[in-house]
Amino acid sequence: MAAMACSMGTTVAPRAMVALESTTSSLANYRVSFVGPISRRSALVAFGAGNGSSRVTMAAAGAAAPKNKGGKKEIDESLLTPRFYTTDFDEMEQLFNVEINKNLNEAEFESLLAEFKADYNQTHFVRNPEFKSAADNIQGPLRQIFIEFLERSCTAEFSGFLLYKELGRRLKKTNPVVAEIFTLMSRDEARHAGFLNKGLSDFNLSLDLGFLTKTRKYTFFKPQFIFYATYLSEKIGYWRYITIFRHLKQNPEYQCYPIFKYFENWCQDENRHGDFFSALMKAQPQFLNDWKAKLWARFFCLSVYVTMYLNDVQRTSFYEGIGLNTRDFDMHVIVETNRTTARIFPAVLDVENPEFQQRLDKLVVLNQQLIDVGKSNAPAALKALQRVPAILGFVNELLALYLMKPVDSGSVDLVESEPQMVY
Amino acid sequence: MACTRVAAVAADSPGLHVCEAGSRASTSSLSPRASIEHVRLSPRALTLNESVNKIQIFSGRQSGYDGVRRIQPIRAQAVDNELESNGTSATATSQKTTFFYLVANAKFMLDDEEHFQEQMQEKLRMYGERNKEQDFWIVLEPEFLDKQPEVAKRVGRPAVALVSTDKVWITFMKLRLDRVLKGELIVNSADEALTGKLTTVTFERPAKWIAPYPKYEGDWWTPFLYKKN
Repeated sequence: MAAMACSMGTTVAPRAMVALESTTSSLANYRVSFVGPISRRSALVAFGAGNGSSRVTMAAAGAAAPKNKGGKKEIDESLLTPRFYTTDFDEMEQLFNVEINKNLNEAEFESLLAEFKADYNQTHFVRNPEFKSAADNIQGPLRQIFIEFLERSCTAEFSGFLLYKELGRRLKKTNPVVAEIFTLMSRDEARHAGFLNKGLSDFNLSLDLGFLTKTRKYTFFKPQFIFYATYLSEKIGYWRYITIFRHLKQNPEYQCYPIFKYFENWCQDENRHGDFFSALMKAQPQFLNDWKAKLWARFFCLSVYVTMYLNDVQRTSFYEGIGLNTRDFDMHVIVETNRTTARIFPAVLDVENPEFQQRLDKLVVLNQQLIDVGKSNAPAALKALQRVPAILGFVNELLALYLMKPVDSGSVDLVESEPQMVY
Repeated sequence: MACTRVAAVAADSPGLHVCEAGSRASTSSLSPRASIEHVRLSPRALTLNESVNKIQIFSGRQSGYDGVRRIQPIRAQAVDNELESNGTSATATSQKTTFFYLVANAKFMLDDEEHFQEQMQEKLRMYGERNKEQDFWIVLEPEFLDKQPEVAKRVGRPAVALVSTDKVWITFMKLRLDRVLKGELIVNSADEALTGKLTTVTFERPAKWIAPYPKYEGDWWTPFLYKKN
């Protein structure tokens, strides 16, 4: 990873380095970085975690400030990860200013706006009495895992709500169409978060979302990275939800809580949100069309897939609890997300090469070694020393994964050889 | 039905911005009805057809339209009998309908993209809930391709089109599906845009299926096929 940072360092703005640094440092903070949510945004968590990340409040966007905090709080915070995101709203305004940017494909944005206005799920999120009794029946260790699942999912959806809502507000003047789409997406996220929070009430709990808004730290991403990360997050979210839905439809004996029955319609929202980021990127071809973009695209794919895999393998009891084999589930989600992502990212990883999963599994072993060191009673200095080989191995595997021969990809709308393609 | 038409009528009818005037008049020699027991199309990979060099599918659209408009008076000739039976065209001269389509090989449209099926069902459900009249269809091996050889030779067979009168929605679906050709048809009757030569396609089961659920199977597209009055 360090080598990667060097090779890219000359070409990216300093702020962009935050993403790289945070991932690197999160290796040391393993408990934080790889203890993400089970929810759809899980994959993003690692980015913000760790001492290298910076935070910013919505009000003071653009002013990055380093964090300074002890391990204990980090770990607590990680229980409610994913993080909240913020971005450079001024840059966003520039990017989508119709006056400045003549490349904007208004027809595409108009069509997305119509799709969001149609509001397919207006009446979908209606609860029924099944929820409470199902929750009462979930006892033992699975109960805690379920609660955690709901908390993380709710936080994830809510963080989407905050980001999209703010973008909707900020872009109103420069690009009313894009702004309205963001606002409608925040509507979806609010609906999802609210539904999950009601689910928590079945377990006699509730998340104080107002409190979270004020107290959670915000992770800063430049718009370019918000696009990559959020696109992947929405699409991987779709594939996670739909895979669980299709599996439970076939195996209803594992249908232990009715929220999963809502996933089919629910995740169509996620898929549409992803389409919107696809359109945003097409409107900014500089984020898609050069070698730097290819490196970033691969980097974000890798980060997202690795984080999800490590997260989920640690929570294997949740997936087994609903009848899934965690690694099979994850590989399926990764393969499908990668295929989807290949329709817009200029390069993706060769995840269907068996070597990919083999290396992921090596990461799991190394990650477990890090966890074991952390749990031991050895003095801190010794622990740090004990971690070194695993960290080196970890970095080595990540690099090997990153450097695997990538697959060139992208939207056919942006390909020069399009006139010769046969569909 | 196209075979019986005189060239001038054929040139005028289903809309043709995509084709050059010369190719428009001739009916396609492709006859894709043949042997579609098992489809062997490589999914998820676009192929480059070396022989097709300069097809301007998307450019020159506007001039194509103009061409259609200009020769409109020829339309005074009688066209198809379906015209009368189909309510969309009361008078022979004015009632043209524009359809927008996306087309690709059947394997991609019907078998590989499971989310497409979910999306179609979602839309149909929403139309039902809101009593909206259906304005989108799936067409298997569309007849209109016979009149658009330039498009026809760029899609694998059998081909499947998503056709709608809603241009805005088709723009969105192009963004979603990406690996599809987009076009428009100006037709006298819905039949011309929505008639398919097939009603079903069989796909081979994938050799390797890694998903933790069974593949969607069955003729899920049936509710989306166009039914004549």
